[in-house]
Amino acid sequence: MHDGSGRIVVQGLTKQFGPVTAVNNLSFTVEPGSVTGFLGPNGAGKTTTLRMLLGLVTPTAGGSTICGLPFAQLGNPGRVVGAVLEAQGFHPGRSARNHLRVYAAAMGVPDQRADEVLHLVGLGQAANRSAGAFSLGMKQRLALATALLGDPQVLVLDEPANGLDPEGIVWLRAFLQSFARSGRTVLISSHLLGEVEQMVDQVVIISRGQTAYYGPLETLRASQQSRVLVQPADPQALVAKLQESGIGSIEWTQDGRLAISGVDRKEVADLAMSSGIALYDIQQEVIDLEQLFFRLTSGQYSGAPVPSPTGYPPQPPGPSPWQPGNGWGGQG
Amino acid sequence: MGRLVTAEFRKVLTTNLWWALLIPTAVVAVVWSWVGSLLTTTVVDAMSQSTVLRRFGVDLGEQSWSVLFFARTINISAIFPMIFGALALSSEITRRTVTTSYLTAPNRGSLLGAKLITYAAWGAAYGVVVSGFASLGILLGSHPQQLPDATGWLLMAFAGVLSCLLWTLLGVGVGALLGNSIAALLSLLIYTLLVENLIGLWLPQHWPGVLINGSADGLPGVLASQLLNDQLDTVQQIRLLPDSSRQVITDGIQGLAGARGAFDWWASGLIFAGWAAVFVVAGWLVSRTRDIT
Repeated sequence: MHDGSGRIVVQGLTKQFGPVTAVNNLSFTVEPGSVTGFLGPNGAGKTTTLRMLLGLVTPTAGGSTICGLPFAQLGNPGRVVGAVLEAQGFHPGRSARNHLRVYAAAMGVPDQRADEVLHLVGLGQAANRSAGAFSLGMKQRLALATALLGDPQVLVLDEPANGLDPEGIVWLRAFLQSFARSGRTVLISSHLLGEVEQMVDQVVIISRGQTAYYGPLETLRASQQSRVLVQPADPQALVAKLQESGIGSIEWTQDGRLAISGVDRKEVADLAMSSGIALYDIQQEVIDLEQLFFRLTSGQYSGAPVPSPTGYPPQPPGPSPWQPGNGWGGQG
Repeated sequence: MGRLVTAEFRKVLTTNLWWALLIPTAVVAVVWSWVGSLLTTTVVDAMSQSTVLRRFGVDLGEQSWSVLFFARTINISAIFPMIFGALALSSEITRRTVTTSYLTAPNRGSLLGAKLITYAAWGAAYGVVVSGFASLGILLGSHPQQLPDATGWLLMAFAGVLSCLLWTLLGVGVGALLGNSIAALLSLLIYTLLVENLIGLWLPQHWPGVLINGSADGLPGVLASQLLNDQLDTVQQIRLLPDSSRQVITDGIQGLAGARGAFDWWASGLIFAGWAAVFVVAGWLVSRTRDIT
């Protein structure tokens, strides 16, 4: 019998498809009561990882548990974990209600549960329509209804926002947060951090089948650095003044400006003013989460560099502390 | 397991395939047996009136010749339950509904087990329809005195049900083994309709009986030819023929029943059940570790 914790543990998971290593020694834990974002670019191994967790793909090495047991030993898995996966099919000729009644029978929940979950996801009006005539967004809602049928403790969602309209995304966000707040577990994958940023508490970021960052989103957010770019009349004098006041992280940018980290614009302006150094230009640059995510996962399948007159994406301030092997990775 | 069987019945009943295949099953069964028994009756009538047979006083008009095409009708109509079985798991893989099915089943073996139970019942139901419409066909096409007696009819109907049931299970196994509905259908149809007929032509006596079609056809085919041969043995002039000549008649009738070279009907049934079991086990082994991506 499973331990009822709702905890997901992934340990050393590896999958080799012929010569291609889709997932390489991946480890992370998802705690109940939280929404965990599982992030990485397309092709990073997210879907394969989730399918291994759900027993649909056999791992080459390593393993995973849900509520302390591998998927195959859960007994009646539909009552423990619900999943919305990409390319999850519906028989085109079967109505939404009949689709749910099939799986209600399989997991032994009463038939009226089918109508309950249809109303829950907003498909009450479409219950008797064939799934084949559904739009992508309606299919996603039906997939979510199927996942919720067994009232599971754990929800696993693979790119659930695909095909949902903005209204649907807002609804999904609120729904998943309340689901997690009731002490249950949500693991949601996406290739866009911005898409899930507002609903996740924890993130697992993977790149090329390996963990690039694993921890609370807050920690990642707190580590966002800003820097001030200035163009002083006398750079040497300003650098001397800054060092005098204990500000050490100063760099020259390629266009001859000074990049000062860990200060805000006002501080630099005041210091220059009091030292009588004229500033021709001053601006504050913030690295947002999306750029951080881009940096953590860049490299795989990247196209040829595009000349960028605006300098986007901005150069990162100094060496990044978020690379794997720097003590931040989840593979320790 | 009971939950999964209920789910499988719902899967079948909430889609159109079961009746879309049942209609051609019934049509083929009634047309095949009607036309076939009409043909048989015509030939038997012509033979009975031939001067040679009349001179020897042989009466061939009173035997249940209609069972020959009862057997052939079962063999041809069983293609439809075979198709029905072949799509059981393979269409779920092709349509990707198998993801949800695996996510809601304790393990893959129990899902396949539930499908086997469900499809055995459906295969038997197809068999009842095949035997029923084949009976209607011979009723329409034969002289009343050429129909089987109650025991003979029950045995033939039973062979029809058993044959359809086993073909359905064999189809489930092949579908699970290949994991693709098109591949499963094409290989089954090409093999049963073409390949084995070609192989069978070149094989010596009794070898066709160990093959898939050969054993399957032997179940109703040998049963029918035995029923008919027993009746022919009561004709005095035939009973007095030398053994070699009687063997020619026996083999000829078995060939007419579509079961050339098959073993006894129960042995054929066992061999065919063995083939079904081989494909079910192979399908189980392969589908157990198949990656659903």
